[in-house]
Amino acid sequence: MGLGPFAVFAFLFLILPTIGLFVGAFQDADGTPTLANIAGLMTPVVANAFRQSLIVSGASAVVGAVCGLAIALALAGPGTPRFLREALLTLSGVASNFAGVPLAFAFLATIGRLGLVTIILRDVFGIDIYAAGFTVLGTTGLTLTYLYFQLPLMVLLIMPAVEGLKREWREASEMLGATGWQHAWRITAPVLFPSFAGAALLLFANAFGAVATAYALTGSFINLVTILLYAEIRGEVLHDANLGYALAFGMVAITGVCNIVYLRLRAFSARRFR
Amino acid sequence: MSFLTVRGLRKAFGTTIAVQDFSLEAERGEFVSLLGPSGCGKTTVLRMIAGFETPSAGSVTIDGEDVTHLPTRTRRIGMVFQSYALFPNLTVEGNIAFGLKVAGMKREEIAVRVKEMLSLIGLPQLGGRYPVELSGGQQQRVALARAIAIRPRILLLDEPLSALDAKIRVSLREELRAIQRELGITAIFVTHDQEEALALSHRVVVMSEGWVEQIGTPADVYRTPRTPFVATFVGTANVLPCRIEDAAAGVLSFGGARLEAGHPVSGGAGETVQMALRPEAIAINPFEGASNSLAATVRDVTFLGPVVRLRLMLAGDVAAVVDLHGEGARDLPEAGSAVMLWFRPETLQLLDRHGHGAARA
Amino acid sequence: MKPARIARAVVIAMGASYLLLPLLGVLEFALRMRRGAYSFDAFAAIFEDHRFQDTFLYSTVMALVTVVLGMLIIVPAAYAVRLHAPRLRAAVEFVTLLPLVVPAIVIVFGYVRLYGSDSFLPLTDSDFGADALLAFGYITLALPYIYRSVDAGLGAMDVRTLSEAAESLGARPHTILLRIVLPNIRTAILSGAFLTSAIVLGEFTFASLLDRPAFGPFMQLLGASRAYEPAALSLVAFALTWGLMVLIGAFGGRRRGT
Repeated sequence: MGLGPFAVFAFLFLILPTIGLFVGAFQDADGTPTLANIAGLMTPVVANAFRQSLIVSGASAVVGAVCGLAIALALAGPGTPRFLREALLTLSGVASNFAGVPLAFAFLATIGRLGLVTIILRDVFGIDIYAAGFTVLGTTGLTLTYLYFQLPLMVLLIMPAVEGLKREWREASEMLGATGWQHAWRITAPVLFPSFAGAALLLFANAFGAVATAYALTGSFINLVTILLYAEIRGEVLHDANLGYALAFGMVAITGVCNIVYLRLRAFSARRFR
Repeated sequence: MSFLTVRGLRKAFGTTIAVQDFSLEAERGEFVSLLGPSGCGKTTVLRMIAGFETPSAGSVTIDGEDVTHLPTRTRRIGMVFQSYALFPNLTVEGNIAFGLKVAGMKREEIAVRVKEMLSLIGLPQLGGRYPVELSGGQQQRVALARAIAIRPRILLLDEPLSALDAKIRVSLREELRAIQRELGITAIFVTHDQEEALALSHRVVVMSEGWVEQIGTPADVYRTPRTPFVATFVGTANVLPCRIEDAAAGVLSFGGARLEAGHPVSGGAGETVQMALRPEAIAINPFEGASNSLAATVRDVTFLGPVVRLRLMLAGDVAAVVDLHGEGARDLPEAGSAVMLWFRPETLQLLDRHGHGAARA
Repeated sequence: MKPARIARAVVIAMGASYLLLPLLGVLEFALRMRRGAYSFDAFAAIFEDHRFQDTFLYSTVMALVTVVLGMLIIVPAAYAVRLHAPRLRAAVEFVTLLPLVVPAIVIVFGYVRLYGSDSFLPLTDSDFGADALLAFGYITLALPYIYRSVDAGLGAMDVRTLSEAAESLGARPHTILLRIVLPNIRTAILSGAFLTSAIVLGEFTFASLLDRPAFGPFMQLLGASRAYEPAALSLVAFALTWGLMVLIGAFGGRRRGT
């Protein structure tokens, strides 16, 4: 039947490899069960990697979520011409896929030491960001770079919910005496919140698992969980495969929780706000 | 001075004119329906009264106050939408209380009023439910309560029953009528369903293509339609092209037969005018030769329950419809047979030859 | 003008600028290669580079293989779920969502461990094995998008009713699939194919860790050694992605009536 090849494929190339890693996370090199690897996640280097990853992912998720929502609301607004909306949605579609190595180069070329924006800020506005301590290779620079795909992703994720806001609700509010702010606070915000929070969580998980952009931008200069794992797979740093498995397990635990909460929020929204 | 005065209202969207010269004076406590097919402009008129659309010309005055350019928020109107438009994140109580909360009413007073409203619409147990848990009829009742809770000066209803199942539509219609009569709140009701308009209203405004065709009580509009549109849209009508023989005496001819309207008709001798005749006003007459008799051939006979509908062909290939009920529905003629039709003079109505009849209150 | 309108315009302007600025930046940078004047030297340099040609060809072929193989695996599965096994839908959907939960780097780590040199199936030892592993990895990455696209297409064409109608007219299963189902989900398949290509062409993590001569690792390598050429490459990659998205929009996009 049609599901045969699919089942085999899923088992061999999705389920087995992942389960294998998780099992390995709780074993040592001989295969004996142990929690030592999980404990190893608390060591300074690894803990620091988690902290950095959380900061960059969290910051890009929050900023991306808020700004993305603002843009989506502006696009869906009554005065916005159709062509502008379609153009920006297409641009969002492209930008959300423009991650990885090329994105790193683009930001190096824009806010790197010799980047266009850096130079303009210095020569035209007299602001030298590098003298002030900024570097595109740091957490702020990386967050700004991540924002390039986080923001459009948020726009695409939240657009259905924004489009689902009925014009009649606003008219009913007006009829009942509410101002625009009152309507936004009492109706729009509560209705959008589950979708907003869910999308923000997806953004967070998305950033947490990203490696190509960071690697192309900073090499191993910045300590992220994904960079650490990358180096470990190449045999460069930890030389402890089981610790690597624990790292992978930790990552999936975090992204897994994000997705579970996202699904619950989506179910709530579908149930209540149909 | 009427409670609601709408004068010369006009709305153009680009080059399309949706509403042409709409005027209406409604008394306090009156229930007025705007009746017409889709696209006739009735919803646009309602939305201009509500303040959701700005008129291209004309004025709206409520209780002496010119509200034409005021924002909806300050007009003190209540509106019920076809799609209910209940706030999904608030419970039934939350929805009903919304306007009161926004106005800054005290919590205890709000609770009292909400309770009052829930019992008015007959849903005292459902206060804690969310809209998604309610049926269509229940949601619309809540929407009504929400609109009335704020004690609006005028209640505007935009096809509120159209989205509901047939049976619910009828029962909710009766409830709506009872509530409106009990509270004495002025109501403007938009619908394309003539039965609703006739059952609910004190007066009906029949509209077509942006124009007012006729304003009158349900009986007026049904028994004395003024234009061909009104005659055929409200109920069924036979429209006969007749020749005026004697205008002052109200004598006309159709296909050689002599017809008496029983009242003078306007127009010159020899002019062709349109006369309307309701299907239920016609009887099958065994006597020949009397005036107001028309020869016809039966095309088919359909049994509809309370009524038997005959389709017939008159002289000059003019089709006609006759509804027989009660004992008149026995001894039915067969398809293909020739019969004589008879009607009383006063049931023959003269229709305006141009479309939009003068809109008299 | 109403304040809400101004606010909306400002937000859109800022958003659009933020998305366009880096493109401007990288374009300006790429044109700087020749000292003193703007030129297309950087672009010329990469197009003439045989490593660019080789790796781009490799990734293009890999994209094609991924699309074809992926469709062969996923389309029958999506069809089977709709028609014969609706109860398995939740399980299948769960599987198709896994690649969105488990990061690519974790998946490829699993591959390296399971199919590496000292495992029961050492695929990484041979070139062909490693290429196959990469292809399956790409199918895994593209799985959510292909499945969602094809499933939506099957839903839009009401595949159940049409299949039953065809069956009642005497058609056999493979005829139904080939002559009724496939033509009607053509746009869904194309849409999925273009999205997959966009994913595969620039992909770095899998290709790099499986040590394959793909376009992604080439770009990263170039970035470590050259200054201006990577910028030009970045623009080429962006133009490609944009082109594919436009194709998706032209074919997929909003559903039209069947």
